[in-house]
Parts: sequence; C-alpha cells; structure tokens
Amino acid sequence: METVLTVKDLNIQFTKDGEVTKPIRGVTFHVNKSEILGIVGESGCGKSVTTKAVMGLLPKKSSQITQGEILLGEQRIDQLSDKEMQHIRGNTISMIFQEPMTSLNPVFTIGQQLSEPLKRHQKMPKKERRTTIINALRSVGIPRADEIIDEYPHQLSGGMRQRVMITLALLCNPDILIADEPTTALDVTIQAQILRLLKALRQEREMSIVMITHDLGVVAELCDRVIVMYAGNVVEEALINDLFDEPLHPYTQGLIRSLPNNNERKSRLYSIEGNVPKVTEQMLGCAFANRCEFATEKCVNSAPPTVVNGNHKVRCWLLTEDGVMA
Amino acid sequence: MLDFVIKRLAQVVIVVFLALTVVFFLIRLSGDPVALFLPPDTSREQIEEYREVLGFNRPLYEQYGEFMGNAVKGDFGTSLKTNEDALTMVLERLPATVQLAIASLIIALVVAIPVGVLAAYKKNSVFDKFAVGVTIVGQAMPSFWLGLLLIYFFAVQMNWLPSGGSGSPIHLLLPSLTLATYSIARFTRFTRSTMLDVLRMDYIRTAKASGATTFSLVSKYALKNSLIPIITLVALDLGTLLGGAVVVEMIFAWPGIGRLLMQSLLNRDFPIVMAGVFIIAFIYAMINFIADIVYAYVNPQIRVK
Repeated sequence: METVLTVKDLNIQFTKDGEVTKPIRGVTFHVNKSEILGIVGESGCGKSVTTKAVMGLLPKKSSQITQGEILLGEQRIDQLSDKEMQHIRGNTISMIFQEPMTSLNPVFTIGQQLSEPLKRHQKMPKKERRTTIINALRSVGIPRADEIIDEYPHQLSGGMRQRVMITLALLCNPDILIADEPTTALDVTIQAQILRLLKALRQEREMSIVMITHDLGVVAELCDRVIVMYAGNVVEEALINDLFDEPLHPYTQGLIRSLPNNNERKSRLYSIEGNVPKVTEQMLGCAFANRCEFATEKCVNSAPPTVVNGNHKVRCWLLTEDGVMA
Repeated sequence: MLDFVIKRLAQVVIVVFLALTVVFFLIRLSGDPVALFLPPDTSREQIEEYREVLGFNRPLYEQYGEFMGNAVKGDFGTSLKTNEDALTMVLERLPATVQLAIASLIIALVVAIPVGVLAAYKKNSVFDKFAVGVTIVGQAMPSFWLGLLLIYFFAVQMNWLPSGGSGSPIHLLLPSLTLATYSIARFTRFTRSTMLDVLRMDYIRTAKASGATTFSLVSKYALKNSLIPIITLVALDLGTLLGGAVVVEMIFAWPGIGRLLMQSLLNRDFPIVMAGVFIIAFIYAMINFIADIVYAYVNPQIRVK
C-alpha cells in the first residue's frame, strides 16, 4: 500500500520564558493512500501539535523539532523553509479546524476567501475561479452556492461554515486532508452530515484523511485505522475493529470503558483515575504508569517497548513478545 | 438605515446647540468687550451708549435668546472690530484650516499604518521596540514645543524651510508635520495593537493553512480587519485636527480658523468666536456622523440591510 505521509520518531520542544516543555516525545505513524486515520487522545496529548508540525504551522520562534522527520510521500518536509511550505499548504496537504465560527475572515466574502488557494497554487484566471468555486461549494452540499459565494461568513450557520472550510481545504485536490476536530463545535445532526460528507469525499477523490478527535464515536463511524496518543506518545495503533474488539493498552481500555452505553443506565460513567502528567515532567518510564492499575516497578522506571503484532502496535510492558497480555 | 441616519443627524444638531450654549455663557464671563476695544479715555456715557447699541446692557437670557434666534438663520452678527459678517470671515479661513488638517492626516496615515503593521508583525524586534519608543515620545511632546524646535532647526539653523506663513506646499510642511506628530504616534500604537489581536485570530491561521504568503496574510487578510477600529480613531483625530489646530496655527502664523479664533478671543470679538465655534462643532459632529456610515460600509457585520 502506498504511504502518503510518514512521521518518524518526532520530538518537539517548546521554549517559553526560558522554560522548556516537550509536548511530543517520539511520535511515529504513517498514513496510507485513501485511508482515514484517526488520532485520539485527551486534551493536551499532542494531537494538534503533531498535525501543526506536519503543516509547518508551529510558531517558529518558540517551537523546535528536536528529533525525527516528517515525509510527504518521499519528500522530507520538516526542514523546508516557510516559502516552500506555502506551496505545500492548501495544495498537497490541507487542514480544517475545530472552530468554523471563527475560522473564516469576517470582512471578506466567501468567494474572496476561497480564491486564495486557486490564485496561488493554480494561477487560475478570475472568471474560471468563480465557476470552480461555485461547483466546489455545490459538491460539499451547499445550497444556493451561486449566492453564497458573495455572502459574508456571519450570514451562514455553523454547519454551512464548516462546509465552506472543507471546500477551501479541498479546492486544490490535496492528497491529504487533516481535520482537527471538525465536528466538535457542531450539533449532532450537523456532525453526522459532515462525517458522511468526509467519507464520501474520500471515496470520490481517493484522498487520505487524518481525523483528530477525542470522540471515539466519531472514530468508530469514520476511521479505518486509529492511533491513540497519550502525553506526547503513541501508545497504541490498530485497525478500527481490532481497537474496539481487543484494546491492548490499559489507557485505550480505559477510554473504551468510559464510553456511555445505550443499553444500560449505570449510575456513574467509568473514568480513568488521576491526571495527565505535565509536559514539563521528566519521565523515565511509561507516561501512563501513575494512572495504570496494572503498573509495576518496571513501568515507572524504564520506557516501555513497542510490541508489534501485524497491524496492531502497543507501547506497553504488559505485553509479551507475541502481543498478548502477559 | 434611514432611521439610523436621521437619529444621528439629530444628534449632530444637539451637539452643535450645546456647544454654542456653553461657549456663549463662558465667553460672557470673560468680561465686557466694549471697555476693551474703546480707547482708555472714553467717557462713561460713551461706553454706556456703545453697550446700548451692541445690546450688552440687556439681561443675559435676552441676549442668549436673540443670539440663538439669529444663529438658527445663520446670522452670527458682525465683527465688533471690522463690522464684517462674522460667519463669512470664519468661512474665508476654513480652506486654510482644512488644507492643514488633511495634509496632517495624510502624513499621519502614510507613516503610522505601515510602521504599526510592521511593528506588530515583527513583535519584540528591535524595530518594534524602536517604533514604540518613538511613539511614546511623539505622544508626550507638546505641539508648541515641537513646532518651535522644528522652526529652530529647519528654518533658523538650516534655512531650508520658511518659519511661517502660507501660500505654497513648502509652507505647509512644518505646520502639518507638527500637527501630525501626535496622530502619528496614536495611530501607530493603535494599528500595532489591533494588528497583534488580528494576527492571533483563527481566520489568519486558516489563510495560512491554505497557503497564503506572509505578505498577503498581513497586507490583505489582517489589515482590513485592523482598519475597522482605526476608522473611528481617524474620525476623532480629524475633528481634533480641524478644531484644535489653534496652537500650531499661531506658531506658524497659519491663516486658519484657529488663529482667527484666538485673535478674536483676545479682542473679545464675540460674534466671530461664536461663528467659529459653530463651524468647528458642526464639522466635528459631521465627521463622526460620516465615520459611523463608513464604519457600516467597511464592516459587513453591522451593515443594515
């Protein structure tokens, strides 16, 4: 299978007022062609930082990739200049964001904002741009596209704005679409529509999607494969069915156990005890050890190995060589 | 929209009326004009006669009523000194004042917006720190002092520019620069801070993620958003530039309304002062009215359909 994006042993460090934090510590994953990869984890686990690093959107002054590499197809992109990245952003890799209400510029019409990538990446003449944009808006299910192109963002609803954002991201037919919690700010019916749209677009365009979310329901609905992140590390990587049927990492097990179940009404939902460690803390062993009910001394003192069993990878001491619970 | 326009126009009338009322009573407190412009050896009877003729012996409320009655018709009386129509005298000086104000505003905008944008984009750089430092000095420097410094340096020492008077663009240079300094400082600081806010917005990240160049990001997507609050500031400053150029007009002997007002005030030439106050208050209120309409035009979110 063709790999479109590879992240190898990525380490990122932030420096602010002399204080160094390490939100990403050795993240490795890849994205296959026309695959939807989910990245799950709670707030602060490094999902967004990782994808921002891929897009080259991390602030240059305060952040630094200290180790590892990011490959777009065969090309290494983590060391490109800002100018070179401008040709890739919105062209080969696009991104949509969590906040559709604030992600569009309030003083430009939809058409003016959607023109930018066409002008920049495809040097398309003005007249052609208009028809292209109207067609693109229609293709994501926006009614009255020929009117909406001249309207301002505040005239549209949240769901419509997210569709406009998706249109913007897809205008130049990117190979990869990174969606950073695209449905979090929307209500459930709109959420379902947007997810269906993303699925359909993947089918049509053979595009890869990286879906960042903390919602396992969204993952189950949409993704082919999932990586679970915890405190700047990938703790588990599995095909979607394997992850839900047989979660191997205690953290993933905890996440799945804490999902509400429609069929029974318990008094309280399960929750994982404790808090995510601060990114400033130095960690010798497994980052999850202090919250893990199976943790041993080894877990606290030395970094866990990554155990590989086919497509299923887990970073945990509890598993034996062949990937079963010891 | 029409409702809004009518309401705002009514406010213009109220502002002008209040300004005239306040100045009318304040100026009456400053003393009797008749005693001042008649020679010291004039007899008491003659003074009384003049007061009778000019109406200054009547009760204040009567004088006020008569003044307002005439003012509504556009009649502010005649100059006590030259007997010319007061409003005409003021209007004759208006072009010079407008010229100075517009020149200052253009200088201020041309300097302040690029500097403010660049300072925001290069936040905490040497340029940013230098620009902020200079604006503090610019805002703190009184115009009478700056004007004298400029005259001393450019007119007296270097002999490059005339020290005062009007007539050519060269004459305009020093007074408009003096007048612009405060606005430059204010606009620069304001542009910088709104630009910093805008550059942090989600939609700037969106534009960046879709491959916008740094230049178009700043000069197109962020600038238009930052300009909205600046319009308000420009309107306020333009009002001040038009009405408050008294000091600069005096220093540079600029034949505008400010200088006329100052001279008339010293001479207690009440009708001219009142006509001047009327014009300045009217212009100030009108500029703010226009700013509100421009504001609605630039910011689609408050545009009423």
